[in-house]
Amino acid sequence: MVRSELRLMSLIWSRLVQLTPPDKLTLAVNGPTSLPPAPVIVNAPLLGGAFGGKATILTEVLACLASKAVGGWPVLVALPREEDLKTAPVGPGLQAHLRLGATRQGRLTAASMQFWLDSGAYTDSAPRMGRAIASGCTGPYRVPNVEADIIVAYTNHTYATAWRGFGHLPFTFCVERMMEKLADRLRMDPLELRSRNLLQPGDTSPSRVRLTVANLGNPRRCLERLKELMAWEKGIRTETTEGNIRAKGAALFWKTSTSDPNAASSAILHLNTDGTVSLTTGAVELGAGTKTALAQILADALRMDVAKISVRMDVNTQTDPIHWKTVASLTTLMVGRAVQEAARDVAEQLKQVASIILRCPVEDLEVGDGQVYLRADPGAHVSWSDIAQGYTYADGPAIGGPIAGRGAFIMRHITPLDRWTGEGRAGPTWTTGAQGVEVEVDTRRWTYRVIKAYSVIDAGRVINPRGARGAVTGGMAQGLSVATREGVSYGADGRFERDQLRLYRTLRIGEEPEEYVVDFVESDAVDTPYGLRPLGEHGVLAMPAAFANALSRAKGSPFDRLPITPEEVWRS
Amino acid sequence: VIAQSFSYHRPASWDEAAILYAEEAKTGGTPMYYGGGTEILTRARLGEVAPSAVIDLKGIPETRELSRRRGNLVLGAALTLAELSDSGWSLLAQASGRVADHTTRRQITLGGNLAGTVFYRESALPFLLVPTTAIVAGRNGTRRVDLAKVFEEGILTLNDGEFLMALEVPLDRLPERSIAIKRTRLDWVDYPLVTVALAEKDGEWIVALSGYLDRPFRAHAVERSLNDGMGTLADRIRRGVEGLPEPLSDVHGSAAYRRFVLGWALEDALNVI
Repeated sequence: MVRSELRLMSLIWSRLVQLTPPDKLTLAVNGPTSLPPAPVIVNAPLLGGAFGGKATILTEVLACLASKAVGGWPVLVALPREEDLKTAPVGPGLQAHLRLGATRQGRLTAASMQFWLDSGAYTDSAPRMGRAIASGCTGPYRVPNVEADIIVAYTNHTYATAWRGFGHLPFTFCVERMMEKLADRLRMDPLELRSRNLLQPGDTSPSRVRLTVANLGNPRRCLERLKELMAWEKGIRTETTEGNIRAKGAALFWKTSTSDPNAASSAILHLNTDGTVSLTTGAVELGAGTKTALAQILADALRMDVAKISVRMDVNTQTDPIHWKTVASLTTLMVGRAVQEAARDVAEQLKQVASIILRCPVEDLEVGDGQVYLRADPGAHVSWSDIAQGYTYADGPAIGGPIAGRGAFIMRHITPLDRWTGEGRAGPTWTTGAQGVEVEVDTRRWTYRVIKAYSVIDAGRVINPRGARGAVTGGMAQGLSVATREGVSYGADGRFERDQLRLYRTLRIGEEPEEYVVDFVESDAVDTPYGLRPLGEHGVLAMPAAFANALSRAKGSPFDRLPITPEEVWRS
Repeated sequence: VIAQSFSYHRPASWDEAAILYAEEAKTGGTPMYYGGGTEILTRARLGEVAPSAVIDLKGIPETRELSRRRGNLVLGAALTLAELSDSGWSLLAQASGRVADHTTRRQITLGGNLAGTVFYRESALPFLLVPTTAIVAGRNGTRRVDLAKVFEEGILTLNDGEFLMALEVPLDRLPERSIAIKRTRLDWVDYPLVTVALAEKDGEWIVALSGYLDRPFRAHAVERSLNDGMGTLADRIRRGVEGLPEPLSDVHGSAAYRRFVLGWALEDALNVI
């Protein structure tokens, strides 16, 4: 029993420390006025992850204050499961009142939108999530006239934070349910309606960002590919021989990050005499293979074997370079850029020293396969390992010195939304996608079964195909979990009802669909490593909407609340 | 984690266990008998119980018996629910085979399930349908008692210091046709909205339910309407469900939904059997 409790705490610890920048901690611990700030050093172990749940701070502050109170001795803060569920931040609650205007031909003309976001008892992430919802409120559709109010309200609920998608899952649910209702009203195929209204390069986003292929991607190809995979044309509602109903549902999403305008990352490289390169970044591994992707990017940039890259796995904020936060599916994009720049820095330094040894101009040299060589005559070369920590001539003297590379990246053109016009650019690039669900509904018992789930996502460029597929599939499972059973609730007396995992249900192995179908579209995002788009949270985003659309079609009555349990199906 | 110290005993005989209990209680202690320990762990963690001593019953041979003896099926109270699937009694295997998850069923014991505070106690359902003798041990020796007498409230109720050693069911009274069906909110592993145990005895249906009320019980109203032969099967089910007390309404499902689920669970059970 002791062992399992320790494991629980190390899990909490790893989840807690990874995302919070130390300056935020310092501020929280010392308050804005007390000077000088006590240094806060955060050690993040290799693996953690809370799908954004630790973008807020909670126990860190308690631990620092408690430690301060006992003269700096180490203290341990641990939340038992019940306290963790009740007091640590939860995903955001959202309600919306939406009105869409369209022509009879199914062209959207106007949208009037009100979103109420339940912030819980503290502010923290909720206002930024409100901003995220505002900047993407229409979904990936062209709406010439948009009015949107996002009201972030304090309530007596547990406070809200990022939960895989930073507000995008619930608002996508609202918007995509509305598109479905509109299609029903127009007696139009729901994907045809979406297709007629897709945003295109040259349009502007709801917050008036000019859209290009680079920042928007190709939602149309995602939609078309989804239709193919789902055999949409073969029918979207059929009766089985047992009298059950099978129905398909689909939904689209788009997401960009809601970054700080000065969000930045850096990377540091050290060359070792055995020809290996040490890679240090501030990115925390969440299990998505971020560190692997960064090593792959570095191997490609230096044209070397990835096995010769030694990756620093944990993160120490005292010695390691900064990374804004491991959130927003931006780590590969941001830190990847920093790694590429650091690789160029190293290559330049290698060439500098090699040009002296090989007695040639720097521009004539190339770096690769552990060598610096003359482009015109690769036989004239010097090996990295001989330069890594200074080159020593045969007769004794040495030149150069230890080589370390440094790369940095900072966001470009991000602006806050204007207070009066709502204009502003929230993130660097969108990731768009189309998702689908096929369900079978038992018409006697009103139970259901998810048969297949589909995702087609414009990833810009897929760097690690199996990693990408895994991240998306995991997201789809999580999305189905939210669609069917997850969620907190409060009793009539206001008490938090689901403070144990036996009451807070999640999808288990064996309760998943028969098949997850995942495919990618690639349209160059430009100015990102290899043209990739953020890809991490996205598998989750439109699953609940697609599920609700399928179920609404099967039952013939609308499902506009999450989760949708069989009891809800029976009641409707 | 249990944040207090306690003593652990593993007696090898029932009288030793009873003495340990009595002595611990006499010196002001708060002993608890221990079968699988799942509730002691979870409740102690929440501060709901604080035993000064736990007395492990699994070392007592009678509590581990699984045999057919003198026309009886004998089931030791410390058999785990996982082990009950080897009892050869399919109704018991079905009813107890969906409690918690497999890992936990390898811990939870038959006696613990009947005496536990988690009120579903699905292992009790088969014993509500057949005459069952409970063999109880305590400071004053062992006694044999009709299980119905010590399970009137839907929970095992013994005198202080007593514990259940085994259950005995006459083999010739085991129903030939029977089934247990569990229905949850959604998940395979979850508490029941209702678990139906249905059997045929002397040409009549007998029914016991768990999850419907805050205790397992014999559903006499359902039995009467199923057996009176009046109207269609659907009618009889509806009347039977209406004749029961108001069901639970909680985070797992509303009362109205429980009634609906019970209706088709009965229908399913009757179809499958």
